[in-house]
Parts: sequence; C-alpha cells; structure tokens
Amino acid sequence: MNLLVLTCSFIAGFCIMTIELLGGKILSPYFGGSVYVWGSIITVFMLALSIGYLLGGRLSLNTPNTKKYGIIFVASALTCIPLILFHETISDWVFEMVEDPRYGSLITSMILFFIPTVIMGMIAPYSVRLLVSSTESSGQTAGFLYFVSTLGSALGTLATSFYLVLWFELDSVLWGAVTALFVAGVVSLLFPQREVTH
Amino acid sequence: MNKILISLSLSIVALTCLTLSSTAQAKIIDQERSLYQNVYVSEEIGLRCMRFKKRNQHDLSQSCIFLDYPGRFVFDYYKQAMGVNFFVDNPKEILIIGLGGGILANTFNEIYPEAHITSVEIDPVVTKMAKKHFAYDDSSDNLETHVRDGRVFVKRAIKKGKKYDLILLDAFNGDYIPEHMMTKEYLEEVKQLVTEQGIIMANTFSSSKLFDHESATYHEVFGRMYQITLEHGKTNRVIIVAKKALPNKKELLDKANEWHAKLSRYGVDTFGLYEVLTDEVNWDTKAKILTDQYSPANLLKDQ
Repeated sequence: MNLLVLTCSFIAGFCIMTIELLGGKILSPYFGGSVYVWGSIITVFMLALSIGYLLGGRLSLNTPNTKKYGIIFVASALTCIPLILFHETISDWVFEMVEDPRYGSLITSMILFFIPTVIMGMIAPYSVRLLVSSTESSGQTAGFLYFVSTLGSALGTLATSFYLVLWFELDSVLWGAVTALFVAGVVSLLFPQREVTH
Repeated sequence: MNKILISLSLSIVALTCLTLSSTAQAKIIDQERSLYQNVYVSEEIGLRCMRFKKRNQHDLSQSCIFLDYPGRFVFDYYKQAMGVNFFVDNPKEILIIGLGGGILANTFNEIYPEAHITSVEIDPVVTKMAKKHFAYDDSSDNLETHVRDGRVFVKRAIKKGKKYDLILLDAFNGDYIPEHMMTKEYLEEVKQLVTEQGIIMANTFSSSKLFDHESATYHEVFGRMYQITLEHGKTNRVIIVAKKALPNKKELLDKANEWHAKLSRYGVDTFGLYEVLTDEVNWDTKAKILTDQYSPANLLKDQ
C-alpha cells in the first residue's frame, strides 16, 4: 500500500504543477502575459490547496482507506474535465464582463481551477494518514510523503515547460493529466482493501 | 603554420581590444527596473539605444538612434518597415503594438502628419524612456499611448468596433515576440481590426526554426504575403499582409519611385527595398502552425 500511496502522491504533485503552469497559457490570450496573470493563478492555487489540506485532513478522520483515496483522485480528474472543455468559453465570458485584466484573470482562474485544486489538495493529508503507522514516526512519514509529492511537482513543472508544450497541444497535455489522475484513482479503488487502524 | 597562428592570435587580441573599448565607451545614461525588465538607455559610438538587461547575454537593442542624425535610421528593420508605404494610401488611423523607443510612431507621424496614431506598450517604463530620450511626444491630439498588453488591447478594440488602416506589429520582450502574440488566433483578431483596404506589417526575425512556423501561421491567416529582408540571417524580416488581395510586385515599382525622395532622408533606398521585396514561399510549408494551443515559440527560437 505504501508504494501505491507514494506513487499516487507523486502523480498528484506532477499534475497540479502541469495544470498550474498551463494556466498561464490558458489565460494569456485574454488577459495578457503580465505578472498579475501569474499572481491570479498562484493565488487561486494556494487558496484552493489550503482549503483542500483542511478538508483532506478532516476526511481522513473517518475510516481511512484506499477506496476513499481513489475516489478523491477520480473526483479531481472529473472536475478537471470542464476546465479543458470550457476554458475558452469561460475566459471569453469573463473578458466580456470584466474590463480590468487583473480581476478578469483572478475571476477566470477561480472558476477554472478552484474546485479541482481543492480536491487535489485533499490528497496530501489523506496520504499521510494512510502511510502513518505510529505517532513517533509520523513526522518522518509526512516528510517523506512531501518529499515525493513535491519532487513530482518539480518534475511536472520542468517536463511541462521544457518538453510537453513543445510536443503536444495544450489541451492534450491537460487530457494527459486527467488520465493520469483517473488511472491513479481507479488503481486505488481496485486495490485490495485493508482497513487502516492504529 | 606559425605565421597563421601568430596572425590569428594578433587578430584575436585586436578584436578583444575593440570589444573592450566599445564596451568601455558605452555609457549608461538612464536605467530603471520595471515590472517586466531592467530597462536602460546607453550611449556609445554616436548611438543612443534602449535595451533590456539580461545576464550573460548580448542584450537585444530595442530602439536606437544616431545622436548626431536623429532622423536617419540605425537599424535595417526600420528601413524595411518603410516598405509598407508602398501598400498604403494615406492611412488615417494607425495602430502600433509595441511602442519601444517610439521611432516608428515618430516616423509615421512625420510621414503622415494627418494620421491618428495609437501606440500600445505594456511597460510604463519603456514609454517613459521613449518620451525622455527618444523624442516621443504624445501630447498632441493625433498621438495616443496605451499602457497595456497588446493582445488584451486588440481584443478590447474589436469589442469597441475600432478599425485601423495600418497596423504595425512590433511587440518584443527581452527574447523575442511574446508567445501569445504570435498565434493564429491573435492574427485573426488583428485581421478583424483592419479596414477593408487596411494593411498589417509585422517585424520578426529572419533566422531560427521559428521562421517556418511563423511564416506558415501568417500564411494560414492571410494567404499571400510579402516579405522584406535586406540581409538574410542577419537582419529582421518585415512581413506585409492584408485582408484584401495584395498588389503584384510590378504595380509597386511606381510606389518605390514615388517614395524615393521622401524616404531618402531617413537613409532608406526604396529601390533597394523594392528589389528584396518578395512574395515567394520561402518557408517549410509543412511547419506546424502556431496556435493558442501550441505556441512554444521561445523554445523553437533556440532550436
């Protein structure tokens, strides 16, 4: 199970940064490539992740298992789909409504990225709960988990900005991230159940 | 063999001295960090230039003027840009995306004193430097400046129903043209902003792998296009496209003649421009078109 959780955390870390990085490309045709566009995206991601951590921690209190863990992944994948299908329509709509590109980009990022990122934020605390075997080692377990998922984020950022945008279209990369999250979710769902109780 | 070596090393020494002396002569007269870059204005060997500072690399000159002959063009690309005059007939509304030092704005203001020129520049510090050091003055009624991202300006202008007779695409950052301003969608938006008889000119580079992708994208949106490149691989390339069908090259000879005297004071030889003006397809037509979905322009540039 440890290997499953670590692999899934790595995938989640990778996908979060892939989506965040492509956020800039999604918004720039409408709101420009300026620093406030990045400000909007990073604000929304940080806000959503913070809420996700809170909810994920809360969720881990009741009979934590890999099935629920899998459901979080599947939910994050599914909530990313509207983002891929409608990012142009939504950006266009906000562009029509809001003249100031700072608030335009903030509102668009909120609509597009907030919900999937909250759900992806739930993954980290839930992973810790699944991995922790004793109170004494909990710090070390959490540390190793963050090491793996943040390494995933670093590689996700690098791979996306250096290569993926050169090889694929933006939406194809996003579909790739959705598929990865979905597959991770299904594998977790099908994983032989073992109640985690310590 | 030894002789060759000696002369080679001598020439290297000479070259180093020359480079050192020219950098020693360069005097930074103004500099300011903006949200986007470190902008500085330097004076060297009779030139005043605006550049964006980058580490370890030769800074791309954004705008340069001769201190003693401010009317004459320093760069070939300004000269190439004058080729656009062959295609327009007394434009009333001109839009410039990417003000820089304001050299194109000033020049077109001189050539067409009746025209109303709107310039868009993302960086307020660049606008300030243009006014302070490059004699750009938008206090008169026929010049206006907007500090905004070019693409955002274009989208808003479409909504307001604006039309321009001449649009000049000249947005550059420290590396090249911003990626979201090289795509098919962007060019389609720009196309919506020109009048039926309107002309669009773009200043681009003539080298790198991006050349093919960029050309294919312009061709996809506008069809036939003219290019002006005075020295391949060394200078920029100017692209001229339109909504309507462009005239044949033969028809433009009269124009080159007509403009010859008027433009010679800028150091522009209109017959030289006419000679290199071409509507040939000189790019790889199979190159992938740049879109909002696929625009790794700055990665392609260095390949």
